[in-house]
Amino acid sequence: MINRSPFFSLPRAQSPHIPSFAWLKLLLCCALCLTPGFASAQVGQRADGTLVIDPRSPDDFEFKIAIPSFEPLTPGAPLPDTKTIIEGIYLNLTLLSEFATPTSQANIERLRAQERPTGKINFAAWRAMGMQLLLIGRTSLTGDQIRTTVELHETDKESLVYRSEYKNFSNKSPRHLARYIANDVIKKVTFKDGLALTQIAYVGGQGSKSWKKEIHLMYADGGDVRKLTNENTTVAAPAWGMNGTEIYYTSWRRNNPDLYGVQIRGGAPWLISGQPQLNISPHWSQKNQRVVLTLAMDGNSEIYTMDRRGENKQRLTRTSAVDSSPNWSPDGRQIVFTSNRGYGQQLYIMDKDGWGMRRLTQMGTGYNYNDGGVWSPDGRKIAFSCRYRGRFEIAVVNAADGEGFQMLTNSAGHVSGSEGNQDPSWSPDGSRIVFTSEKTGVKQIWVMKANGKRQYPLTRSAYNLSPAWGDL
Amino acid sequence: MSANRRMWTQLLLLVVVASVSFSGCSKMKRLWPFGSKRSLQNPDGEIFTSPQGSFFDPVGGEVTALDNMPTDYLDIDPSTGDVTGIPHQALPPAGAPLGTTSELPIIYFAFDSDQLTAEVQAALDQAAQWILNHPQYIIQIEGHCDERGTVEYNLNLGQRRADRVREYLVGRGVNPAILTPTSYGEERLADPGTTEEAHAQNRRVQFVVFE
Repeated sequence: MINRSPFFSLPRAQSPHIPSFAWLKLLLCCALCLTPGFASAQVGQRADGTLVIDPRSPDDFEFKIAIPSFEPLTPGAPLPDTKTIIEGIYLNLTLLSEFATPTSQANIERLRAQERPTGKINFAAWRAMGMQLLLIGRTSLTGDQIRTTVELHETDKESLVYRSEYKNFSNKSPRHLARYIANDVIKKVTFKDGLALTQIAYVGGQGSKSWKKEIHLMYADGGDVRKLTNENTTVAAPAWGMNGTEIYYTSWRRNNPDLYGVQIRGGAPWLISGQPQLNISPHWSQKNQRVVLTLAMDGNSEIYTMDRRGENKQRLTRTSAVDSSPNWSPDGRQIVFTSNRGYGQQLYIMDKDGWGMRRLTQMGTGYNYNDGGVWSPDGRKIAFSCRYRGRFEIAVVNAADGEGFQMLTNSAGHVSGSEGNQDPSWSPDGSRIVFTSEKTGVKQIWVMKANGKRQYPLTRSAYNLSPAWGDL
Repeated sequence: MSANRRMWTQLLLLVVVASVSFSGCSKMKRLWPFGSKRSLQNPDGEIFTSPQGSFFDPVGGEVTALDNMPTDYLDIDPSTGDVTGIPHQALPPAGAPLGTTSELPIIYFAFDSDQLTAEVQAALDQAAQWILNHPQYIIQIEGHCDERGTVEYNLNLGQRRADRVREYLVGRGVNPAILTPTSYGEERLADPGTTEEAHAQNRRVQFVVFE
């Protein structure tokens, strides 16, 4: 009976390189179940020296990868800017996945130079250097076109993880080729979709003195920035819209904060909501095909939902308090928002029709001002800006019960006059948080792991804030 | 064109005033129609409750003791649950402004406050008189904040500041249809510094005159 099930009769699809990882994953699961203290000593490696590759690895686990300089595909062929490509791969791997920052690129180059004439890979030497992975690239430049092949080797198994060819990449942005390679490495090694090809929308300006700002897009490594809007006035708080191909944002082009939509490939913006007073803080639910936003046309800030044309408006809150900063849950059933209806400014959760109201954050010692709640992609956590000792910090609580309060940032080391860290936005896989930090005295966009570690600035131009991480 | 527009806004105002006067008083004491059956599970009982009585809670819940509502909150019409106050009618004017005038001075606020001090009220009395004497203009009321606080919080705070000023002017007889309050939050700082003096300069409402 059971054997008739199609699932049993189907041959298991296996590529020749993946089984070692599948086997390791299975073994790791057993190890995690049976050995309580497993994670403490051997991060990433078991006693027999084999590599542990699993998405559930401990927080501070990092792969060590060696990427020697790319070699010419054919002897004497012109090369693109290989240094930029390699730096771009390292940057994406370390910033957007669990890879260690390379300690000595010189040693890597020396070892590769020694083994290259032999035509073989000296896995023992790479292992001795502590490398678990080795990425060998060969490239050539024809006109504007970069052609590259890469091989990823696992040094413990002395096996090839994957081999791939990248063609028709423009030499105008070698970083973009680096993103593609890094994304594939991340996918093959962690079994998760990489973030290297995702983009972040944000507000960029000429400095806090200038009120002219525009919506910008950049890749998640902070590169290939482009200006999306041409408003020539003040704009605020972008959100990703339908299918991840639209951006909704507030602009004062009519001397009022109105909500507009624009396709990320360009084109003329359309007016979504132009009610008197505020039309701000949009957030799109792909499940409901609706925008949730704050309108103040009733003489007071309230939460509304509407479709992306601004039609079929529905009002959700009806208080004389300020209700603002709404954010959909990933399943589209609930909305978290900020309200000062109680004591202090706290986060509340309601159903998508305005019922089932409950308070999420509590008044605690030192913080009574929380804002900008954003739901993690798995629906379990809510990150928000929390004022603590006069500055903002990024904090998280459990969405289910408001417990598990955890502050992820610490702005104690910021310059004086800093407002701290605010405006969190989750990466699509929930492993990273992008936010605005005033650490250097100027608002810039930073990224960190979801546990608050490895904070890194993505922008360095005049003045940038309000990031929103898209899942395209 | 302009006369036509004015006629329509006055007509709209008339309708709004009429509907408020017909419906407002009689329904204010009626209980929330859904009754207590669908009232909310209030986590700690006090969060929606003010010292004077029951606060309104969203969509569901029961409204009692409306007569004891604190006066600094707008009245709520329980038949719809809408905050009545003074509804917004006028969209902001398009095009370039004529500019600012010393007759309509910049008004400053305390930190995180939308309260009008006695000094400010005296200035607004003068401003109201000037606006009444110049009914041909549309007055944009811009609410601004200092940069402390989140972007969204300050947009809401700027809106509250502009609305307080608008309500005060309407109380002095100004036609609400020619007042267009708007908020810039912390987006347009008068002084980008981080000193207390700079912050004080930024917490303001300023008037911009449109044709």
